[in-house]
Order: sequence, then C-alpha cells, then structure tokens
Amino acid sequence: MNKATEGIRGMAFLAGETFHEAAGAHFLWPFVATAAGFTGFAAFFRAIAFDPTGGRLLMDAGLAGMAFCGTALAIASSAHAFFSWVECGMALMILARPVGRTQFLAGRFAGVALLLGAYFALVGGALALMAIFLPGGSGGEVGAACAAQFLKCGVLAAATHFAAALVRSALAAAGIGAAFLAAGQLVHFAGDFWRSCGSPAAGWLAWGLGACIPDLHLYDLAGRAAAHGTAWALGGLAVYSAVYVAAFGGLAARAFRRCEL
Amino acid sequence: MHAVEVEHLTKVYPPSTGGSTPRHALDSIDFEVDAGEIVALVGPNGSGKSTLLKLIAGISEPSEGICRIFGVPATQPGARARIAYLPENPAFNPRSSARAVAAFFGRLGGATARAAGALADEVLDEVGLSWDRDRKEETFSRGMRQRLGLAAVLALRPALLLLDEPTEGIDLVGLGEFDRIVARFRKSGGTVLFTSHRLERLERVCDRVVLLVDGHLRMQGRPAELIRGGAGRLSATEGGGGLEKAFLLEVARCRGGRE
Repeated sequence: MNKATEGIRGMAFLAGETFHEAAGAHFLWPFVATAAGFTGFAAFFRAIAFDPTGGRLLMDAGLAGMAFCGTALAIASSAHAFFSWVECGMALMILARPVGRTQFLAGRFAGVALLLGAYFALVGGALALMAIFLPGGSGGEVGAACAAQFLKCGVLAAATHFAAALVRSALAAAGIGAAFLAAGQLVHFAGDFWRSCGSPAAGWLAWGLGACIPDLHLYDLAGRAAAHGTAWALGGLAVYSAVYVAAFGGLAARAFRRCEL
Repeated sequence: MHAVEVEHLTKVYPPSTGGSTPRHALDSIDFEVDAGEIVALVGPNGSGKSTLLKLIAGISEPSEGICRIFGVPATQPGARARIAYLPENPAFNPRSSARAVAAFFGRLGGATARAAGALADEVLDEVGLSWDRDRKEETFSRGMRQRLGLAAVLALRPALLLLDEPTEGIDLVGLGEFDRIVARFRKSGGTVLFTSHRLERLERVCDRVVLLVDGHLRMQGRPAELIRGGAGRLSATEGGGGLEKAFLLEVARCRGGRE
C-alpha cells in the first residue's frame, strides 16, 4: 500500500471514530429534534392564517430551523472534536504512532463533515417529505437548500477547527466560531457600505475583508438560483466553499503542528 | 542494540504569556536504553520526565539534540510504528466500552476489524479487565482507566512501551499485575521505559533507574548500585536507606541543600 492510500485510510478510520463519538455524545439527535421543533412551532402560527394554506410558512420555518441548528451543530461538534481527544490524552497516544498531525486534523474534520451530512440528510429528508404533501413546497428547493447549508457548515467547521488550533479551550473555540458566523453574515453589509462610500481605499478594504471572511449570505440560494440556475449556483458555491475549507484547513494544520500538546 | 538513544536532548519552552524568560525543561540529556531492558525515569515533579517521554515518542520536537528509536530518528514514521505511548491519567471516549477502546487501538496498530476484536479480548484479559469489557469507560474508576490505557498500548503491539506514571491510581493488587505485565512484555522481546514516583517498587521491576532533577540527568544505574552509592553518603543516625533515601539525598544535593 502506498503512502497516499495509507494516509487516506488512516484519515477515514479517524473520521469514522469521530462520527461515532460525536453521535454517541448526543450531538446529532438534539439538533435534529430542535430543527423539527422549529417546524412544529410554525404550525401554531399557521392557525393565525398568514396565508390561506400556511404551507409556505411551514417550509420556511423548517428550512430556517435546519440552517440555524446546522450552524450550531457545525460549531459545537468541531470544537468538541478538536478538544475531546486532546484533553484526555488520546491525541498523544494516536500522534505517537505514525499518524501525522495534518492527517489527525483532517480525520477529525472529515468526521464532523460526516456528522453534518447525516444531520442534513435526516432533516432535509423530513422536509422533502413534508414538501410533497404541502402546497407551496418543493422537494428540489429543499435539496438545494440542504446542499448549500451543508457547504456553509463545512466552511464554519473548518474555521472553528482553525480557531481551536490557536486557543486552549473548546468554549473559546466555539465562541470564535460563533463570532465568525456573525462576521460572515455581516460582511455582506459592510461591503455594501464601504463600496457606497465611493473611496477606492474603502473599496479595497471591503475586498480584503470579503476575502478573509466568506460571505455567508451567498449560501441563501433563492436569488442566485433564479438568476443562474440551481446547478450552476450550487457548483459556484462548492468551489467558493472548497477554497475557504482548504485555506482554513491549511491554517489549522499549520497552527496544530506548532502546538505543544 | 539500543532501543532508545538520546543525545544532547534539550527542550526549551518559549516564555509563557506575560513572562520574559524561556523555560529549560531539559538540558543536554544523554542516555540509552538497550532492547529488552526495563528502565524507570524518576525525579521530583517538574523535573522533565514527561517532557522527555514526549520527545522520545516523537510528539514534541527537541530544541537541540536527537533521539533515536531502534536507530531511526524518533520523529520518523518508521520509529513511531514500533512504539506505544501512554500519557499520565489517560481517558478515552466515555461512551465506548472497554472492548471498543482496545479494538480501536488494535486497528490503529494495523489489525483488521475482526482481528482487532480478538486482540482487544486478549489484552483486556492480560490487564485484568476481561469481566468489564462491555462496561462503558465513563463508569470506570481511575485505576481501571489506567489498566484500560495499558490494554490500549498493548493492543498496538509495539516493540517499545513508553509509559507516563502507569501505576498512578492503581491498587496494590493492580501493582503486582503491572509488574507481571511488564515482565511478560519483556519476555516477549519488548522494551519498557516508564516514569514513576513509586521508588519502593523499582528494585523489583527495573533493570536500571535514571534520575532527572530540574531538567538535568543526575544519576543512572542499577537500583542496587544507586542504593549503595546513596548509603555511602548517609550518616550513622540516618542508617541505610533504600532507593528513596538515595534519591532524596541526590535531589537535595542538586538543589543546593545538604550533601
């Protein structure tokens, strides 16, 4: 077996263990239940009759719940995945074997990605089922929203891993991950504001800020899918996300290599 | 053949936040461990024992010097494939059973999923946890976790065991079992380097003892030789002391106390 295959096998092994550990630590089901709760809660509003059927309201609440809980899951599980083995000494036992730190980190990240995949498959599947029976719902729309949110959560997970490699506690890493989420939501407005100033310096500043912090508004597919088609919009988002995941992953690996465990 | 060769090993940590002076954890350490030997690293808290084990395990990079495992630099994968390291106070995934933990390490050591299950049963039996194999790790006491840690490193099937305070929290029965496990491991051709504060037991278990004080290697030798050396410095009123007395005298001497 060559080195690359061995590296990928090792990473996949660590990813599987990370997924089992996170699922066993009750990371998956409470978030799935909360996302379902959002939709259930919206059913009460339907009684007030915002529109004649209320189907759209239920779908929107479901998608919002899925997005909200997905981001929380990405941040919380990433911070947990990074520190749980470091704090108990298991990371030392694993790293004393021929397992590179980058491979270790990539395995943990891949485990979180698996967990997020399971989460979006479960919640998205339930919403898609609901879309079949509700007027105003569309299975395709749910699928596209799931894929976009999965990509967004992947970027957030990578950023939280980077934060975790720099700080000393899971709480601090989760806090930075949440701050990053807020910044990603606001960078869009900051860009608009600076660009409207008319100053070239402000424009460059906006560009620089936009390059460091991904614009999380882009993951709201509705407008872009209408303009370019869902497949193109998703493809563009996948490339955009891959760039940020690679950048944050690289920074995290660099910080982790220098970290004294 | 040397299982471990340490040459001029130095580790300097950068100043902590707010501090200005770097901390010398280890200062130019030289020693060897022969294949098949059982060697104990002893010394007061903060003397650099755990740091030295981490450097030998290739987890930490030395500031200066080199460490070789069976002739290969410790940071190389070829060296690390032959070692297993057990940190102080190990803990594992709390919701995993002891068997799952041991099987995980078996697979990490290269066993297939099926072989890892059988290996897990074997090593759990070896450390006296066969009756608790299906219990979750979170229900284990500190001593049981320590045993599970031993099972985990044995499941890696290493040639060199690096154990940081492996007897911490283990009861008297467990201490005897630890001695037997180490002896069996040596009989199968393995080498053991471990840290310990239980000096009274080392005579029975170890071939050699290495004393570290404040990052410097101060004494090394067979337990009986070190006791004889220490007894030579004892006054008549103090009487003949064991390894413990000899080390206390040496530590006091190094730190500028009475000689």
